[in-house]
Amino acid sequence: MTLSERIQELCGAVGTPGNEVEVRRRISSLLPDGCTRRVDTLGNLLVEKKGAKAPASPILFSAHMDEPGLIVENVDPLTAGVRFALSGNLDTHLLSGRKVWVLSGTERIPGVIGIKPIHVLRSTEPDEPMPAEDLFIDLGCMKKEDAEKLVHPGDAAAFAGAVTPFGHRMLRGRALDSRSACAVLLGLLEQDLPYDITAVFTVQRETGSAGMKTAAFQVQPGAAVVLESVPSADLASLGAKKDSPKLEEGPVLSLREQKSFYDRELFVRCQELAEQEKIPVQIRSAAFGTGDGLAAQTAGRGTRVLELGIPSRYSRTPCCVQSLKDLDALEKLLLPVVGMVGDILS
Amino acid sequence: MDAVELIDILTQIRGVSGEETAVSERIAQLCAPFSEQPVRTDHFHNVICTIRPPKEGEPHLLLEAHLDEIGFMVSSIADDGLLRVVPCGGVDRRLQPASPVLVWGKPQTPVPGVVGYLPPSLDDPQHPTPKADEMVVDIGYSSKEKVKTLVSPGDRITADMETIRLQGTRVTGKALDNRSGCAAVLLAGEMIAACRDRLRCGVTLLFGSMEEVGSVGTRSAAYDISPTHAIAVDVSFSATHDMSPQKYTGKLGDGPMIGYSPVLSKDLSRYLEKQARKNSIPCQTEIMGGRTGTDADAIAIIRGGVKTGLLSIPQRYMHTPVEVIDTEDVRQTAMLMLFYAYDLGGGVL
Repeated sequence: MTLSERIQELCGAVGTPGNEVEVRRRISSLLPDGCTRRVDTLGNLLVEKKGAKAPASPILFSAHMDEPGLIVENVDPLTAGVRFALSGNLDTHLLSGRKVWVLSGTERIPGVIGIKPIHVLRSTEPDEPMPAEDLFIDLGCMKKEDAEKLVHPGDAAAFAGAVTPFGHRMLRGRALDSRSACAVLLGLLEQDLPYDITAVFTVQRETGSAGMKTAAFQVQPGAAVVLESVPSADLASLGAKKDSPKLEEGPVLSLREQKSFYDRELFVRCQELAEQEKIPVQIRSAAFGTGDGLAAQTAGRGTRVLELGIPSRYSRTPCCVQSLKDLDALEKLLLPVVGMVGDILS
Repeated sequence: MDAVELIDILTQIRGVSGEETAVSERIAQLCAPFSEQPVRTDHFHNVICTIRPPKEGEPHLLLEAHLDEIGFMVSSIADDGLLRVVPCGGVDRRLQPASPVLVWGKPQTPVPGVVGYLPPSLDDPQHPTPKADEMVVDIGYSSKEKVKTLVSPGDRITADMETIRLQGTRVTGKALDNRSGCAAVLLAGEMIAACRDRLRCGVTLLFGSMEEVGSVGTRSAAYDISPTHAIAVDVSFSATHDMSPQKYTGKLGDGPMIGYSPVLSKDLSRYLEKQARKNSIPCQTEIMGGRTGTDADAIAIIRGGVKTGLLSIPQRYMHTPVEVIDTEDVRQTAMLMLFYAYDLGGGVL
């Protein structure tokens, strides 16, 4: 299976925060032989892979399984529409006009998030999307009771669709933000490694990194390498932001996230390594939001963190775009990173 | 023909205003079996299907639905490979950013794209709706030269959205405005043709182009056809939670909305209402104080004037990629047109 195929396979699974079962199942089925695996209390998948040597202290690699989505609140008695809350970091302006699946058990019930037509907007009404609290999922039900038979408060809902090839070696679609990193990490596990590693596929990153906080506590790593998608605002015609990571220019080495700075030595050594390996990388010095990086850094007694990012266009929307060139480069960079981190720890 | 199947076929074919060739050809194929004369497609991509030409002195009924859909047109290719686009018809700009689209360019299969936007940032968290002249589409190439081999100015862009079934008889997708109207006219045409020998009036079907930009196609075709009576079929607003239920009374599943407006024939509308009641067809009314905003406005003032009625299929979320209709309303709309065609010249069922 190619990296692109792995990503498409993983993005086909629905997994909002706290509902990562299907993603975990698909990742498990793609794990190579010779790994030991276990699922912890919150649902993290912890995979241990033996390398040539045991590091002085554990090396953790992570990618999160969950995608931002919605959670069912109740059914509106008047319209039989399903009210929902947001579950994770979504651009809340971009919810309407989208197709969704409500997960009821193992079934995906199709619905749409509609909006009042522009034809009937009053001239005083703002020409902008409605806030999430005023939106409904329309399942096509005639009566409230019909909808209540299908969905229950607490059910997860996610944006429908698939990931498909796009443009020049790019991918377009749902849940790319989280799953592409999982697919890259799976690729690392297929190789012969210089040191033992623990790969953790985390849960609930989108709602506060509950998964990483508990996983890092269990692993007690000497260093953690966190794989994340990073938003890219690189469209020149729209006035791209100067410091934005760009698609097709390589993995992103993060100096920081919004609330913390990462380990300087790991950063510098990784930069040198990329140069040696002739893998282009980009540097990110400003960040919006926090994720599994800070969670790993501050769990238990704390750990050193290296964050490697994948530039992601239309991040936090139901239609992300990433470049296979960046993803291939990241996959290629990870193997020497294992050696580099292991050497630093010993 | 089955209403659901027909709607599925029709909504998946492209036909953005001014570039309706594909949908026009498909509809011409679909109505060929019940056309008495060869189906005609004119230079506007209007499709004209004569079910029964009127005999001397008989009334001539036109059943019409527009076949075009809203979308975008490529205006130029920017240096970074992005397509600059302009709207064709009343595209809802609020929900365009980061939405998937298909660009119908040079390759046989459409080129996938995304409506480009820059994500909000810390210093500017606002998300203004893009202006009509600032819209771009990203097809994933940064080379202008490469993009030129795939796309040219004038190419049309549709939403990338398949049609899916919701609960019961409801469906969602793009272009249900007005392929559901086309489906109703096709279904009516098929039923009317099956008993054309018992008709006492002429019946012609018209699938008109460029309604979304001002009823350009239908105006000319209807002039050519020169009917005495007409029924236009389009979609109209079904109230949703965010619309005033007192003002917008249309409901999905409650049957066709019979229009009343100054330009429409009140006699014809009343007659349709009575007929619906007589034949147990559910129906509702739609009251418009001025123009109807449909092809009916254009048809009614052809030549010396045409007695025109308007049947609207109730729809939620008009002009979005997730329009919702009830296919039962499409069937009922077709039934009502069948009964009207029979009654018009005093025909017997």
